[in-house]
Amino acid sequence: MKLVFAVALATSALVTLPGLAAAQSVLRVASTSDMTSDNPGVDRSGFTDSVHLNVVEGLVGYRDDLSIGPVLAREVQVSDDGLTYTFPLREGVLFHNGETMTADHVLASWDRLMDEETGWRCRDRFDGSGRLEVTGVEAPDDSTVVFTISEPSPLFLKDMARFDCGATAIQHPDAWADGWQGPIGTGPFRLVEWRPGERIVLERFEDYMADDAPRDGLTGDKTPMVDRILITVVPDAASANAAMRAGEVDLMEISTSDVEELRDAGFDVLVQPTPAWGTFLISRHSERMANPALRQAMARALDMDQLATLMGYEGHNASPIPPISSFFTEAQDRTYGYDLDAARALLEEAGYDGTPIRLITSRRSAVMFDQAVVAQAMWRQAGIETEIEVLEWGTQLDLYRSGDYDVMSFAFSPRLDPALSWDMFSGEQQRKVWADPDALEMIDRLMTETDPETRAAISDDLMTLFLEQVPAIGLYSQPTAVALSDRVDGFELWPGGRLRFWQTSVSD
Amino acid sequence: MWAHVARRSAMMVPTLLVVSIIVFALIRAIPGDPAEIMLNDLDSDAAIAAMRTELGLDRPIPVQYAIWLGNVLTGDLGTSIRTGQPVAEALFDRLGVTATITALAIGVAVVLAIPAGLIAAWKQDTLADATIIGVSILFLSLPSFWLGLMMIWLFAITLGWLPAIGFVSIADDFVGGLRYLIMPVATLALVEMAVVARMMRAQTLEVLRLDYVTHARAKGLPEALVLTRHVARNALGPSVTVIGLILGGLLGGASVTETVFSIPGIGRLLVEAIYARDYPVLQGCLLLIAFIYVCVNLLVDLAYAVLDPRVRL
Repeated sequence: MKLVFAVALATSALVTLPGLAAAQSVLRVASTSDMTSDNPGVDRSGFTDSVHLNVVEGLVGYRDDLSIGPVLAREVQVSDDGLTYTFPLREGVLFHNGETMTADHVLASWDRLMDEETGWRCRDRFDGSGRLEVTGVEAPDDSTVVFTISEPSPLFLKDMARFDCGATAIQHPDAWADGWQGPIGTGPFRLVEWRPGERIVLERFEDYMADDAPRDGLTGDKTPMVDRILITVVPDAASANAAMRAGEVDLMEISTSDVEELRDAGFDVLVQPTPAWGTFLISRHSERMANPALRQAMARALDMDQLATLMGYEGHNASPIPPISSFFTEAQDRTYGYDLDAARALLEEAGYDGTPIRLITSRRSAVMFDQAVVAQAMWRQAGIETEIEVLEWGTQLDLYRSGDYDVMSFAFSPRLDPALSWDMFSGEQQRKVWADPDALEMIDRLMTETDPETRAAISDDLMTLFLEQVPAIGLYSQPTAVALSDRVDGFELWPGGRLRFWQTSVSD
Repeated sequence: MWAHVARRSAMMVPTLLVVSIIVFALIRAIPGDPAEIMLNDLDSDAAIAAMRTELGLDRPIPVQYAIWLGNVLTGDLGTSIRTGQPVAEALFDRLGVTATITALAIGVAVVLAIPAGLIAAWKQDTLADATIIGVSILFLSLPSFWLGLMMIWLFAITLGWLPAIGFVSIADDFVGGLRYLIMPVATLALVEMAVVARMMRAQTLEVLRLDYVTHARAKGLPEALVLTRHVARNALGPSVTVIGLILGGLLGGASVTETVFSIPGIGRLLVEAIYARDYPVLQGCLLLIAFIYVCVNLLVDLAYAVLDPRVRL
């Protein structure tokens, strides 16, 4: 027994010898969130997507400008009628188990995702229960896959590339041959360990077949440059911050309110606007808020520039279309016009009697709470009284879905197409705040129209109507921020917001 | 005594059954739907309906309870909605971590607090008494998250002696694992030590005033023997109850300390399950905590009988 103990102790000491540890380059990441599953597109969250997208790849992916580019496909060929998409596959791409990817693997992956049992989040985007239906998938040869869809769609490729869909990952069938075994993808890193609530370990995929094109969003060159990525789950942001200062962390996502503090402490801090959109939703089920003059008064009483500055953002954005999108035209760059006198006149027109308006928020993120407090003060200056109710996130979501509130401090996660950006808060469903028939008709056209210029014009008309009717008060496109230690080289943020660990190296 | 143990053990069954019904009903009564939380704002009605069906949430609550109870009786606590991990596995992993920290913290607290409380009472109204009570009140007044963060600042950032984050099981690496345990154990021990020391002092003061202590001194017993043989043993009773309560509380989740030091313990699992409305994990955690409390209470009763022969079980 003593001998076993001594051997164990000696082994543990050897493993932690600095010389051996230094043989591997390790990027140490701290995250306040844990991964929710290792099953891409099935159980997910924003951070989960980040990890998955370093491990698996789909046929296509988002570029920096949020357009779509090939990933496992060499290119995308679309037929003249817009109904047939042909994907010639890149050759020599290997799965993490060493097998070469072929068209059969693409078909098997697609069949698995479309199987109801799998629970893929995006199945309803392709099965005809929505607008689009994939009517056929074929492999004419080992390196070509052909998808046929029911009607021309500007969203087909974008839906395939969506982060929350796990990029419609192509995986080796061994991953699910005997129940879910964990991802076997083609990405630059392999998932080698996940201890829930503790740590995630990714390892460099030595046989990764990098694309020749330069790094561009989730497309292009994804060469892994570190041997391991050790992600430690640190639920408390203050503790993560302390670990960064103690030199135990190389990279972590931070709140924009911590940007200056960490810069002052000597860390390299990157900030990148993303399509996530901060807003005040106004419930269409609230009788009081049905008065358009009251909604306009609330919008015009907000000093958007000051609000954005106080949140640590560079500028405001009333439009749900992010400034990085090619659809962010001059028409989208309009706002309500901050004018307290005009707001007071509108309040009089609305017959507002000073009864407090119920403003729902939560502490899910600091910004969601802070923007409610700042706005409350701004509205008070115009004579609008609000009563803030701070709820736990699950309870807030319940109200969001039922529409049982007056105004709600909210943020939408990134939508990467104008049709989806407008659709996220518009519709007949109980949770949607904009059900104007003209607006819904225009959004419907955006879903099918494929000509970019026509789509931009429709989106601009929607913006005009949005500013007029104020179904929600758009605030800003929220940035993401990352702090880096001086060991890290090559890491870049991108508008998609998800962390990319490729082309990132560490020095000692 | 064994009959008492058997009787109390049998009573656990109805207790846990009642707890399970209350837990099951209450957590479904709070607003928030696991399917909505998982899908966040990226929801479609079809996806939410499909997920509710998949999770069995579309069935009547009594049916859900019956299914769950049937599974529990066969040893299946279900699967986490959030991570897909079997609940029993998650509880086992996390309880091991929490139990290690709790055992060490209670051990340290008891070893320091019992003599400290005894000495403070023995030296009542002296500098030693004032110091012990002052330090106890100080640690009792400090919020554990603040104490934890200050320790990180001092020992991890300033001195660089201990790691600020992360966790290594002592089963995997004993020496390395201990380094990760020092600060969380110290944080818990300092606060709990204060509670136990104050209780021990109060009880000792009462015992010191009793006639048999005066008699022991009068018959010429050395003061050390009076304290250890006659005073300490009789003053320990209420402290054991407090230690039992602390033990149950910490095993049930020292969630704040676990969060500050990023320790994957049962407390964090419980808090995360509440936020995610992860019903199976929540039910498993609360059932386990109820079980721990029942067991700890039984142990405390047994300890009373051992410490005080007058107590008959």
